Amino acid sequence: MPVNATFLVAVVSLALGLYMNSRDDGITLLSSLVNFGAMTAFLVLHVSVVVHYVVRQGSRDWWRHLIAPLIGFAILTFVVVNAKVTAQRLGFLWLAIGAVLMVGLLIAGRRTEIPDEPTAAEEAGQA
Amino acid sequence: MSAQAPAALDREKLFAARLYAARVRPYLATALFALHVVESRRVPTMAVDPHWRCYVSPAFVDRTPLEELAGVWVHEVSHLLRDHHARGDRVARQQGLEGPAERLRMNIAADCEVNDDAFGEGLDTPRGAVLPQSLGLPEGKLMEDYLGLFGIGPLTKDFVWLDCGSGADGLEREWDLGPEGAHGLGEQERDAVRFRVAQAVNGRPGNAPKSWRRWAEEAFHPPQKWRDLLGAAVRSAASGSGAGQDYSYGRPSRRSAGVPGVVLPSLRRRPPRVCVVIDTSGSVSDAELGSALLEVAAISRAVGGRRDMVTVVPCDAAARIVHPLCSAEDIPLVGGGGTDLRSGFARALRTRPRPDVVVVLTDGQTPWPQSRPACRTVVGLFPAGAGAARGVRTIPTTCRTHRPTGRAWSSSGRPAPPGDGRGEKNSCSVRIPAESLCTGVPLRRPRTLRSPRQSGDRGRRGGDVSDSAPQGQDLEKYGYTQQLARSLGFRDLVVYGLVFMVPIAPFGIFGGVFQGSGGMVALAYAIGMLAMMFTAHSYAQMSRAFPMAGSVYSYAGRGIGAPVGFLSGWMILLDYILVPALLYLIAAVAMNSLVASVPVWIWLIGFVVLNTVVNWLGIEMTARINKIMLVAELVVLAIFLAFGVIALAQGKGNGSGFHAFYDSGTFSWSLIFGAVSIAVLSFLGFDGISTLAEENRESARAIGRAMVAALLLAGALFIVQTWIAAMLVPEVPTLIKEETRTAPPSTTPPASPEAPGWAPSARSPPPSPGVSPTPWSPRRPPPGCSSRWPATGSSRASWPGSTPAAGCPSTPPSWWRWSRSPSAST
Repeated sequence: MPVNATFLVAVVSLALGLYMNSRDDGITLLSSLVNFGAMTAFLVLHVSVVVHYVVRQGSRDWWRHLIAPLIGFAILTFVVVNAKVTAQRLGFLWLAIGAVLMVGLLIAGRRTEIPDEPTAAEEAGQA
Repeated sequence: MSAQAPAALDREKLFAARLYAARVRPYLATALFALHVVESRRVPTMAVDPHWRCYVSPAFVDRTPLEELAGVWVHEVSHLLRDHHARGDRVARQQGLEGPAERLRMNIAADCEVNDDAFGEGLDTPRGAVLPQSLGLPEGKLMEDYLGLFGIGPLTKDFVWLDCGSGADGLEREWDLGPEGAHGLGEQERDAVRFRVAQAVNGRPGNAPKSWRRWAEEAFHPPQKWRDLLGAAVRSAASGSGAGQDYSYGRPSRRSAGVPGVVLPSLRRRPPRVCVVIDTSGSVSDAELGSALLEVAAISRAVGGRRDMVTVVPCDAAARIVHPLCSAEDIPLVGGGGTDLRSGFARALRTRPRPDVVVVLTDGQTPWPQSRPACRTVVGLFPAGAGAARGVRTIPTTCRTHRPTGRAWSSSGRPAPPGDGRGEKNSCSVRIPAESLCTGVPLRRPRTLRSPRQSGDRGRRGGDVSDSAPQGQDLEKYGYTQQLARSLGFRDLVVYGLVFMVPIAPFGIFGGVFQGSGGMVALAYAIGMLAMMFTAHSYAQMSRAFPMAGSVYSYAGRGIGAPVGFLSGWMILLDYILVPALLYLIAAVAMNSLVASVPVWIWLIGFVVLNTVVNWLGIEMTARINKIMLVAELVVLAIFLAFGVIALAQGKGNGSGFHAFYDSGTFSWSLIFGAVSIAVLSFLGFDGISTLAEENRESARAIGRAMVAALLLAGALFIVQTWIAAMLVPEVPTLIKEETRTAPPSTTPPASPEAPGWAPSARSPPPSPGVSPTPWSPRRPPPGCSSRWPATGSSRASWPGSTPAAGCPSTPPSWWRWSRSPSAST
């Protein structure tokens, strides 16, 4: 069991919860932040379907590998664009932190390569 | 080379060729000279029968050069050594191969097995020899493999004359002298010849090709009963010194007398605890697992353990729950995803009290721990794919013991392959025939057809199947029924999807969505469902491409590039990190509105501490609890819908009708999509399905369908409940107006305490069925509350209890105002 992760999540949740409790719009803001994170990740997912199947493998299955992901992408884009401004700001701030972190990792020579299956499987199991 | 048939067989030339063959293949000499030559004009070239007689056509000897003739000698003798006749018979019985065409195929396949490394190094390849390459087949396979790889066709038309005799395929020929004929070798003599050849091969290991060395390794290690081997391994692991021994002050040490005044502990032995890690990934069949588990249980009991000290850890990509073997319920072996036994090992070693022996039953296709486990380990390797339809094949299973002191854990971090374990002191490696493991399923072929000695296969062997197998019902005695859903069924997947999404998820955020959408809640949910269905479709596509992994991180990382994967993983981390905080907050606010005297922050701390402790201690019943919760949620939903419909039928609604779908007065796209951005929260979690069962590619399709079905189901529930709720919201214009007044949509969330969960609607039913409002209203939240918190850590959706949203943390009265107003108004 990831003890450290469990406690980290507890601390983060507590701090965030207390802070959001002090805000009036805490729950809505939190939920739109959660959604923002998920939506952007889903956007990338749609893109990766197109890239993997159409661009890399030259798939001719237009509906499944191009049109459907594009429709999904479009709807989600509308959703993200119309999300709360605060959520967008915080979300992009988070994204920026991630980008900085990644650049830092790259500079430090730590690769962001996808590890072998097991790690991904572990992650999936925990997620 | 005369066209005329010679008068007699040119024995000199034939024997010279044999001498030559024995010279270049010294290890085959015994076999070569054991063959008895019979002149026969009916044979096309040279042929052998199972009794080691070699029928030779004089014309063939006459026209063939000496070196090629030597090659043919080696070829024919290889058929016999490799036991092709018995193997051919076996395959024919199993697969129902009859008729001359099939026998020809068998002969060609046997030739392929023999010829791929028979020639060269002094031997010329005879003209017309069957080589795997000429048929477009890979080299180095067995006859049985080749048989499945080609059919009679244009490629084989050159070989119709081919006949290596009954020694190659088992079918009697008209020229055969039969078992009663002269100069045949009896069974013991044949074994003696094989034994000599094996000795010769082993004696000068540098000379023989790998395939012969493998053959020799196998040839005279008679198959052993896998039960005995597994038993021996477990027994020695469980009873070896150090296992289960510990110092105890429970009894005085016998040496106390020597040191008066000092209390010495004595070394006591307790029954060994055995932990069985079961690989539940797709490739092992239930029957095999069941019989192996049964065996382990029986053995550990026999060595003094108790059945309740045997625990079982089902493990695929993640180890889940440790089950005692004798628990009253069945052990649910859920799984079917990818395999990662490292988590299984970790889980097993983490159980308290610690196991003395870890028995791992796996198909071996898994990453192994980097370091040696800290206790004795027995690994039972199931043959890959033996449970599948190809179960007729005879693939060995290996069982090996590993002791902590041994070197069996090779430096690569994997247990050394069975062949390498031979020289190691502390590891044993034994082979188990696959089919004897299959006890719970009807075997595909009669079990008595093979004698234990038929072991001509090269790297694989048939084995002893004579030991009696426990019947299926025996398994149930041990509290184990075979219910391993190999790949989770469609219905299971849908249920899991619903568990992840929570059917009453909109309860928590209804107020926000209602206000954000200007009343068109149902439309917002419909659009959200559409978006999620496309996303699910993309998930399914990617899980088909990368079946091992289940997250956006790996999909994007593999599909586009590692940095993109990193960033998208980072974004979804926002989701994963914030969801617990959100759930805690919603729960705390809900509880605060119930018990107003305790402020929200205390509730918050309480929930966080409680949940963390529970997680830390390892409440591992999530799966079961989730299912109970799902039922509870559906019951709550049904109650709500029933009361809502009754209230509507009695005309208590606000008469908004289809305004929940479309309200021309307030409609605008940005408004709706803003609301969708909140509403999708209820859907999040459907992606959990994709992590469930990815191993076999067939199931990727099932996953996609299940995702869509679960989304449709959940979406329909969401839409119906929000629609009914929307029709029951009193004073709609006030609510929306107030919201738009205090905060324009899509900028800031509602700051007013009027942002309700759906307290109003949930409270409105009471008057209608005639229940007095007072007992009902305050009781309403608890089912919701209690239905959620145990799984908070793992669940993804929002608080389903009736929740006063947003701004009422410190103003519990507003909740009461909402709850009371409808009853007051009616």
